[in-house]
Parts: sequence; structure tokens; C-alpha cells
Amino acid sequence: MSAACCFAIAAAVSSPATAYSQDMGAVKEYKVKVAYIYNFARYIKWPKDAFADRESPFVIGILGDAPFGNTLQRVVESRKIRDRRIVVRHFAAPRDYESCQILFVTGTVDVEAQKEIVNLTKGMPVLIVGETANFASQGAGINFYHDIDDTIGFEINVDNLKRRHLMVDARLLKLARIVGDN
Amino acid sequence: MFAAIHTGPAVVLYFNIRMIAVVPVVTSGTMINQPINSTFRWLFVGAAVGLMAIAALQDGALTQNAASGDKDAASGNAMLAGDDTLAADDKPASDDDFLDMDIEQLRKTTVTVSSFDAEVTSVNKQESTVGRNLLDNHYPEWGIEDYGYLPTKFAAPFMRG
Repeated sequence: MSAACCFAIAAAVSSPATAYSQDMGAVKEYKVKVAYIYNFARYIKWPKDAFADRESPFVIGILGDAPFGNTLQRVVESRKIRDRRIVVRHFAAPRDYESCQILFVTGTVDVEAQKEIVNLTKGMPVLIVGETANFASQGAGINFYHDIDDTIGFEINVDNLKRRHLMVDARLLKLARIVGDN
Repeated sequence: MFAAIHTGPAVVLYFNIRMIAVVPVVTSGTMINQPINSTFRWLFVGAAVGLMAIAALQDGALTQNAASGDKDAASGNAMLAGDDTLAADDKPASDDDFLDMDIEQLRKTTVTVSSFDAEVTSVNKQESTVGRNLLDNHYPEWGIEDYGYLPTKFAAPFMRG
């Protein structure tokens, strides 16, 4: 009987997938955020005047130190959003800002710089995405947050999106936590 | 003969699955200090064949992984050592795969929190033995229960009586 027990234990140990798949269930946070940003472009509609012409690329800007390095640029360069090629630009400071459709303000940007970029792009059709607490209530359209179940959630300030003439898909709103201005 | 039949596949399994040597130990009847009846014998044979099939499938998966690993390395995204031992289904999704995930899938995706942000939820209990009276301890390695006194040879002179 002990032989059978030993074999059962061996069979359990010999399955390399068991323990490893649990580790693989948890993926890197930055990859999820990159995928979110890419998906936001599919669920939000920009006005026509957001682009100079038909050939203009879809520009994703990153303000601050990008935690995901060049990952975003590498993975999106071969893709298109609404038939437009994608260009990723990095801005070290608000004064470096150039026109873009999505601006990801990383967690390394301080509150003053956040306010500065919000004022600088006021009224422009730019989707500002942040990852700092309360940023959606202070000018960002979408803000990431850590949910209690170890997932990445996002909050949407619909008023901010309206002010920037951005139309958001109902499916996105359904998954988001809706917030208002402070 | 029995050992040869069962250790052969086990050794093959060892090199294919690259796991610890527990399978040869279990599948060879000579290494277990108990006689193995015919039921267990057939059980071992069946299990060994099954594991060999799994190993063969994993070899196929490893071949695919090696190919994708070369591709990643070429693009400057060298994979970590050890990734090539994973089956295709267990591999972490590549960056491109994440982009193909729907927003609902992303919302349900669990992420790894950095160690700086992780909250400490438990601590190990540690007790200091400094200043503790030796008489309070147990001495199981000597086969002596806690009788409240030390064995004679370790006891202080005044305790030896």
C-alpha cells in the first residue's frame, strides 16, 4: 500500500505544470497597463479634428519615467488603431508636451506637474490616463488603481472626457469605477 | 528483470521530464522494501507508459518553446533562463498576447505587486532562549521526557544527590 502512496506522491510531484501555472497566473502589472492603454484607444472615440489629416498617426504620449521601458513602443509599432499607425512619444516634463491622443501620466510625476499638464491640455481632445490616487478627480480622464483582488482597475471621470470631446463606449463604463470632480 | 523493465522507462522519463529522481525510486520494485504484487506491477507499467506519453507531448511543447524563444531573443527580448522547461500553455503570455486581451479579461487579470508595495500579513514567531533555565527544556534527543530535572550526568553537582 505504501508503494501506491509513493506513486501517488510521485505523480503529483512530477507534474511541472501544477506549481508553475500558479505563478504564471499573476502577470506583471505594467503589461496589463500597456494592454489597457492600447484597449482604451479602441473603446474611446476621438473627434475628427484630433488628427491633422488622414495619414496622421495615433500618438500615445508618456509623461514621466515609464515603468515599462520601451515595451509599449515595441508591441504597438506593428499595430494600428482605427487604421492609423501608432507612435509612442516620451515626455520628461509637461513643457515637453506635444500633441497626442492618449497621454499616460506615470506615477513618477508629482502633483504639481500633473496639474500643469492638465491645464496645458485643457479642452484638447487628449485622453489623460494616470496611475496616481485621485488623479481622475483632478483632471485625468482615466486613472488606474489597485483593486483588492490584486487586479488593476480603472476609474473614469466622464465629465473630464466630455470636456475633451471624447466619447466613451458603454462597455468601458460598465467595467470602470465612475468618479466625479473634486 | 522486473527492475530492468521498470527502471528503463523511469530513466527515460527522468531525462525527458527533467524532474527529480523520485520516479525511478518509486517505479523500480527493487528499491522499495516491500514485495510488489501483480496488481501494483501493472499499475506501475501503465503509469510509466502514461508518463512517457506526457513526456513525449512535453518534448513537442519544448520544441515550440525553443522556437519562440529564439524569436524573442532575436527581437532583443531574451527570456529568462529556465523558461524553456515550460509547456506552451504554462508560459507567460508575451507582450503581444496581452494586447489581444479584451478589456474584460484585463480587468480580471491578477497582477504581481512589487515587494515594496506588498503588505506584510504575517511574521514568524521567534522566542529568545537567553536567560531561560535549562530545567525548562526538554531533552528528547536523549529519550528523556521533561521530568522537571536534568539527567544526573548533566545536572549541577548540588543536584546529583
